[in-house]
Amino acid sequence: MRKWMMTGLVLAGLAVFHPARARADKGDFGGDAREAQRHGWLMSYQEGLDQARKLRKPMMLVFRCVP
Amino acid sequence: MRVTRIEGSDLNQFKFDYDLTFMVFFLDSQGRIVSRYGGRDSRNADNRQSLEGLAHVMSEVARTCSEEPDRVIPKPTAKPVFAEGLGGGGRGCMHCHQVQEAINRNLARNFDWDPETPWRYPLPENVGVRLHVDRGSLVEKVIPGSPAAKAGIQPGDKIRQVGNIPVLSFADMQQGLEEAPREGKLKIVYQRQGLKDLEATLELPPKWKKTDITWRTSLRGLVPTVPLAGKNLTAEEKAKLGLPEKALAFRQRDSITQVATAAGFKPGDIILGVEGKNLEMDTYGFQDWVRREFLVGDTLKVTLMRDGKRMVLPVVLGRR
Repeated sequence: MRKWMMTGLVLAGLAVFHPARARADKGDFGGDAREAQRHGWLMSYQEGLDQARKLRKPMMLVFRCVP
Repeated sequence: MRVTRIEGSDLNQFKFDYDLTFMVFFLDSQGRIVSRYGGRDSRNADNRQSLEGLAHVMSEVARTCSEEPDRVIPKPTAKPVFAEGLGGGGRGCMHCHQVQEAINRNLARNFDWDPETPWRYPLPENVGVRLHVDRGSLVEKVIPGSPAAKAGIQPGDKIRQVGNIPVLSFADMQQGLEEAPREGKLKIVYQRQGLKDLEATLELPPKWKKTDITWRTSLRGLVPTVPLAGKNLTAEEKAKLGLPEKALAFRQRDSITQVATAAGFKPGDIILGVEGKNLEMDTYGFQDWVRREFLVGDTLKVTLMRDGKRMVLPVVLGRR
């Protein structure tokens, strides 16, 4: 169970911190939601919550101020 | 999930330091907060975070959801509060710091602002604890004589709860400290060597929340201008005046601010300290120290030497 959850969290983490995703880490998507989604990010809280409920996995929610 | 617009998020649920530009919440599958990741100090935006630290907290979140599923913050029962309802922010996206600016304005408007209001989200160091950047809530260091030291907290302990906030990370501990009283007692739960939870009570002295606000965008109007500046005295000059070598001593330069002139300062005055304190720093250190320690509107009682005589002149600090 723990391993399964960890895998989910790590995958979410990779979406942020994999070198190929470095732009996300720097906020380089700007306000471009489609580009961020293309890199695996969900942009809607409700969608995230629905997925977390369905998969029974914890959710990582990042507040990122984009200049 | 990535949220780049604070509008639409319930601020009663997602409470965090709105001067930050990055904050992570970990929620369980029911949308209850398990932990947070983020936070900074005044030195720079990153030195309280690391990839190892994030991975560690993620692992702790997974463990908590699996082994201690009730160790979460319940969803708020109060009516949701949204940033867009606070006023301010102008057109387009509302920045997080603008949320705090709107909160500040509303506090002032309702006469709820007081001199301690700016001290928000105290660092763990404020109670005497330094957490390991890579290891979540693991205590790396305890400051001797601090509330944590007096309560028996030791390096190697793992902080589990501060007040009512379950703690897995630096950001969790900051949230617990933010919600702690301004003075009095604070319950803290910790583990030593992975054994059962232990409880301690921190005795919080007055003004324990005081922090450096110079980095906070929402409070930039409170960071003062220091109206005095000049060249440091040399070691020989200090020796002639009987001053210690490392003591603050600078000669006020000829161009002098109106504020300083109005307070009675003159070019050539030798500035020695504030509030009778012996300061060991140079003129630049003095500027930083004043900006960190005082707010706009505070009165600085400056010790100076003029024509060989010591005197004290008060000056009210103004805005930048």
